[in-house]
Amino acid sequence: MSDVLSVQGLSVTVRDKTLVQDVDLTVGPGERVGLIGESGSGKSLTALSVIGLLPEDVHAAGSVRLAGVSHELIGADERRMSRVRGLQLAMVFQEPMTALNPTMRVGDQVAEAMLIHRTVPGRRSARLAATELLDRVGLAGAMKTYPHQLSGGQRQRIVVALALANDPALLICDEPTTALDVTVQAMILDLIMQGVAARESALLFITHDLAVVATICQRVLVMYGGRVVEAGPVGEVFTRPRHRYTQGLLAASDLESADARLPTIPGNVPAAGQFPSGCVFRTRCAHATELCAEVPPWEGTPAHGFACHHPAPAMEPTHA
Amino acid sequence: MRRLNPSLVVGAVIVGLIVLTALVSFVWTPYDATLVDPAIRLAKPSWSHWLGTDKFGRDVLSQLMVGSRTTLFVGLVAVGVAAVIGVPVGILAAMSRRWASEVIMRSNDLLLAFPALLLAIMFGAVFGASTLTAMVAIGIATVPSFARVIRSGALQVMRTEYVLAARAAGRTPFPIALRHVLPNVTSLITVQASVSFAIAVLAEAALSFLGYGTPPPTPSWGRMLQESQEFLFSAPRLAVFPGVAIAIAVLGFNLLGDGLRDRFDPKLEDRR
Amino acid sequence: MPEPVIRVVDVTRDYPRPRTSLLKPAPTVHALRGVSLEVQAGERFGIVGESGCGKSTLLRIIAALDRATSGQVVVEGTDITRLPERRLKFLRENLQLVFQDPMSSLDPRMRVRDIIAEPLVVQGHPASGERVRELLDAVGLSPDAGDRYPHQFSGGQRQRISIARALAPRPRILIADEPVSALDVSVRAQVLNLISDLVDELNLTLVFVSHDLSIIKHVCDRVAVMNAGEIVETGPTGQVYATPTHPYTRRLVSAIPTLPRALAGATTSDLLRGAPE
Repeated sequence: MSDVLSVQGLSVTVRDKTLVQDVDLTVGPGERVGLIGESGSGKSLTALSVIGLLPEDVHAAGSVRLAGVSHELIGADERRMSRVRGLQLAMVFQEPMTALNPTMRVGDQVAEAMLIHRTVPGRRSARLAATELLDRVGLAGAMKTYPHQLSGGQRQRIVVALALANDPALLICDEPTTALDVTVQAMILDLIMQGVAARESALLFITHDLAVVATICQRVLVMYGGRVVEAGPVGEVFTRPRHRYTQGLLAASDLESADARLPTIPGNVPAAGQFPSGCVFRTRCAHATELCAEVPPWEGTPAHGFACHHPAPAMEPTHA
Repeated sequence: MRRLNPSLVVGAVIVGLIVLTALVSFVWTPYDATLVDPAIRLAKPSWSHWLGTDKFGRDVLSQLMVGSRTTLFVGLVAVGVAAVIGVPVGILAAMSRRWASEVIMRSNDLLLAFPALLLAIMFGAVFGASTLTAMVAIGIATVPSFARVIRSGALQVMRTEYVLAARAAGRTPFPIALRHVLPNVTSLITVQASVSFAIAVLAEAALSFLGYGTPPPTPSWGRMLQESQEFLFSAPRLAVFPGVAIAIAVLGFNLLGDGLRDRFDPKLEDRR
Repeated sequence: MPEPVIRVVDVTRDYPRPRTSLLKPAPTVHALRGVSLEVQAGERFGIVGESGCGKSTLLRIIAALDRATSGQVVVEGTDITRLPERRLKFLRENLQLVFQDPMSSLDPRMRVRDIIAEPLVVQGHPASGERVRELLDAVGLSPDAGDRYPHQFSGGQRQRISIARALAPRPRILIADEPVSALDVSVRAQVLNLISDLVDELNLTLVFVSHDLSIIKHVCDRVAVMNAGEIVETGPTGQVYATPTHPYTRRLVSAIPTLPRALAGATTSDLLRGAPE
């Protein structure tokens, strides 16, 4: 079966700065893929390039193809993109307040999402479908409310309902639960999981939270400094990381088994566009040598591999 | 490098030119701006009088040049008065208890509702018409808008954690206002000052037109307009030149204010 | 039992909301509804709860930056509940705070050395360059950092500056309000280690507030779980985490995604275990 999303050699630049470089990424039908990274890693820009919503002076190059869409998404004009967005491709953002129109009742907003793409025959059936959809996200009574009358978690549920309204082939979530409390996060994550499972939609989930990715995704891509440094099945990458960054990140976030002191990655995350040449991690890496001034080649298959000159030994489980 | 924003550049150039003109007029003007020469009344623009002469035979270009001094003077006085009163009032309102803040802001609103020109005319009637009284009045009338803007900025600063940290370290309100609030609202003060400057320039023109502003013989753009009234049809240029000068000056200060606002807006700022 | 360093007795805090009607009285928000807790000297005490549970209000009342509506707060044997600001000098020296937002916790218009020296200057101590360098060194920043402005630092470095400022007056109590919530994972570990080390070296009493129980568990000995303005459960962190007794704590613990559990096959419906419905 062919992939739902296929990104090849994606680069994102703003003026003279390169923020994302050479990103390859595929998502199969019904597959749940996590894109993990810290600030400046380029994970959100990658998502915005896919859906064509980059800020004005930020430019993407490379190739983004979506199953069922005959044209290239990079460089596609606004008219063509608007036919794809919300129909084959939907996105949930971090901030649920700004994703909803404050002057419209939420029921009308959900109904409109379907009317735009004519996935329902008329206004009446759109309202019926909206009621049903809101019922499924546990907000049956919310049809006639305005966004400001709802809590952050309830608003995010509406946003998820909106995104799923037209049964998209691919749902992209960009840190959808970062602004929410853990108990609310659990509910939203479950909702997203149920939603994509029921529709057999593929999921691209962007976050900085390793545990969240491990809970909902099958495959993960680790980004740092605008590049994908490691990719593979969640169980592999999180138990036997090969890239030194992945290894350090896992150790630093392991609050469970560490005693008083946590293992750390030295230094700070550089500002976007100010990562070193060659291996982007070499300025913070304990294993870096002169060799790392050259861009490390990708080892392994596109779906499971890493880009590191001095990888961790293959059979060294860090998570017993 | 941050890209220069066009309204900031254009505004700064216009304001710079006005300042330059005013400075030059101290040492050189084509003619004495107050020199009356009945022989050449209402002369058309020519090589000897670039912009022609008025009904008393005074050189219009020289009058415009000297008039720019009046324009800058009125702006400085009015904005100075407004800032010196408005900034402390705004900060005080932001830092006081809820009821005290309400009292300050409601009396502020009361003043805001009072027409600036009427206040200036009242001042003129009581203290005698002069540029200074008119501008003090305009300044007082702009205090409320200053106080309002500064208060909202100061409220934001008061909510930051560095102010909390300062309080936790034992800083008392007055030093907090001086060390933390004031430096962090300076950008707002600058923006508000350039916008108020434009308002003051316009108000001075209006007052001079009504005869409550700069008394003769000091050249003023507003009074040049007023004196041109009777020749509106025979010599419209006499109204056009000062009118254009006023419009450009107001535009310049407004553009400068807009440009500064964009520049200081943290949302638009490059995060390094 | 020795006198606790911090004793909070049945504290409530009500805020009036803006009036919605001329006829009805202004509605009130009950941010704290009778909170009591004790923190012993040298203890690392955690407060965990979700947004709006009142944990920040509680911190501010303990730090005398806000006043309780009723109840009593005793710090180092002195009742500070209704003490005027001029008599809080001991508290301003002995109790310092570190805040969550590394952007808003440092005055953007001040140099780092002035930021760090501010508590010293306020309290009339000579603010020597020596002491500032010593503090910068203690938090792992180079001495020339003092000449720069906050925006020239990354989030983690700014949090180090905040910690240096808090330590300047040699406090005995450090209150940290979500100090690592805004930081990247790879930097979070550094800052947690730093706080841990400093608390040990300087024999501080630590009150650490977070929405994340797993961080509290890593840092603190004892924890109070807050929900809707009340403390619903208190106990040793390991015990509260392993065997929560209150239904809310149970929901909270099961909602935290963890790597080991996820790799063992936990799904999102497992996160919802303990949730009503």
